[in-house]
Amino acid sequence: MKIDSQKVKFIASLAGFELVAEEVELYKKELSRILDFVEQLDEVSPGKEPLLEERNFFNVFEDDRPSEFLDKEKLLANFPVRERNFLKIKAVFKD
Amino acid sequence: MGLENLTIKEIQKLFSKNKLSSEELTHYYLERIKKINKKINAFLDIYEKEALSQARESDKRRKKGKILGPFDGIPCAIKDNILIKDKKTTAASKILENYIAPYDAFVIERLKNEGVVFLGKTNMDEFAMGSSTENSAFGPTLNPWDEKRVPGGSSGGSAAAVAANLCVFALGSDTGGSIRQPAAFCGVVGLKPTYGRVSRFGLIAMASSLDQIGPITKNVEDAALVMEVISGYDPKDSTSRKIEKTSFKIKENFSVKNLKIGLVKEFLEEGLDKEIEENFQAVVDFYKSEGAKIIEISLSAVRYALATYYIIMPAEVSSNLARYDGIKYGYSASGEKEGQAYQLEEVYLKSRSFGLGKEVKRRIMLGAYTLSEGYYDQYYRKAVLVRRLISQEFEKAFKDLDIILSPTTPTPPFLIGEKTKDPLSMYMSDVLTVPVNLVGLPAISLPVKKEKSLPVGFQIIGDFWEEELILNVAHFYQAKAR
Repeated sequence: MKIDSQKVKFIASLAGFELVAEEVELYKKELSRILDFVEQLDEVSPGKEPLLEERNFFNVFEDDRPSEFLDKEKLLANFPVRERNFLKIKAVFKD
Repeated sequence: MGLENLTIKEIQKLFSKNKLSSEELTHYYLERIKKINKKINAFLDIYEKEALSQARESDKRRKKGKILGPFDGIPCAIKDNILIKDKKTTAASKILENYIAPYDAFVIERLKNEGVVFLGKTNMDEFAMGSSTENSAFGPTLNPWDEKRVPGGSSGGSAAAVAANLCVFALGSDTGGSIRQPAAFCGVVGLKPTYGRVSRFGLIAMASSLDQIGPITKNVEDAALVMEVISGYDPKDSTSRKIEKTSFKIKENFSVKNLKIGLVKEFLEEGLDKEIEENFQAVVDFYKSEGAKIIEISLSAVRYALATYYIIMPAEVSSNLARYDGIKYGYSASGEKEGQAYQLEEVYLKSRSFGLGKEVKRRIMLGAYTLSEGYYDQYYRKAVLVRRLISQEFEKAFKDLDIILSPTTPTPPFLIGEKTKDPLSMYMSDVLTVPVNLVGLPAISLPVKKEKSLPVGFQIIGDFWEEELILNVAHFYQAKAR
């Protein structure tokens, strides 16, 4: 699969970062090569949907039991911008 | 007394006979780290004061006859993607450069309950993404056997620290070979347990359907001992399993007579280096001469394991790493300084653009793409189906086999910089380790005994929950082969 610059920028926006021009060039080449490589799976016809009852794949259900995290201050201390016990963030909308 | 390359068992004996104190041993390692870490950069953080005080506490307990467990006073090193409370945990990423862990990982809690001494945190590829430890935001680790070469990755710091005798043992994590490949490159032992055997609570997630924590040690027996401490059910990790087989006993009278050993044709076709091939053949010959049955088999879907892995893993990466957005912790562009963001969306973009490294971005993008609308069926869904095919082939194979034997890596340790320009060639170094993660099987890598030159490893793969068997098969080689 050939990836062009437009596509690289689109994927970066999905991924949540901005790329500079050199990065776009680099990732264009690299992602194309990696996709070419993984496309060898086209040779395989693996059959039907995965069956979930297989030996080592099953769902784990648990009761929802809330408990208190005792070191709240340690969580708060990692906040990049903090006001008292609140996390301060930037405005959602411009102006 | 020489303290070079002491094993856990030897230390336990010396401790109990009062011939060595934890303080002496801890001091010895700290001095070595001071001298050697400058050269090889295996440690990102060193806990000099705390380690010594933990050691003194352990010695006091021992004097009173009140040790916490067999590991009391034994100094170890921890890969920097495993949380130790109140300690910096960076996953070798700029985005977590100043992150202080608010709680202990399950495995750390277990080690603390035993009275283990923590020497520090070891270097790794950023977020465990890489096969050489060159992707660390804090500089590469060098191979202690040859400083021009890589130690492997992503647990390269842990493997190098054990190999250079900077600790007794270390913990690593293995998503596609990240314990076994660096163990092979550094000439030490590395075990990837069965998926579900060791809780990942407190491990910084990379690809959740593949990640496992495991030991890196100086010999097989030590790996078994560490497994006794770190394995077990944990309700905080929903993939953690309650299982009956919980013993990791090394049996001195173990024999490989009539043991059915599988050699997978597809594993031995993967462009193996001549040195690897020859050394591996010697291992096969050894087991054969001891009475094992060598059975050649073909697992045709294994050929597609690496391609499958490079769809599944990045997809999970792109989702797991979405949490690094500059809001609740880690690097954030939301400060008041110039050049910082002035609006929320921009905080995400700027924090991630600055904080995440090249390989991490590459994998997030790959995952975002293969999961995106219009491509999901072609890539992700297809890979899930092929993964299942690979699993079925292994399951079938283990009906007639006890273990599978293969080299750990297709080449000996490569040169620093040799593969950084070509990500695909870097990915190829995991071609023999990745299938095990896709299926969830346990596997151990140990060094081939040979004349002095660069280390070469081989891998023993077991069926689900068969750690005890593969440990014994590995120990048998270590004890008997020449």
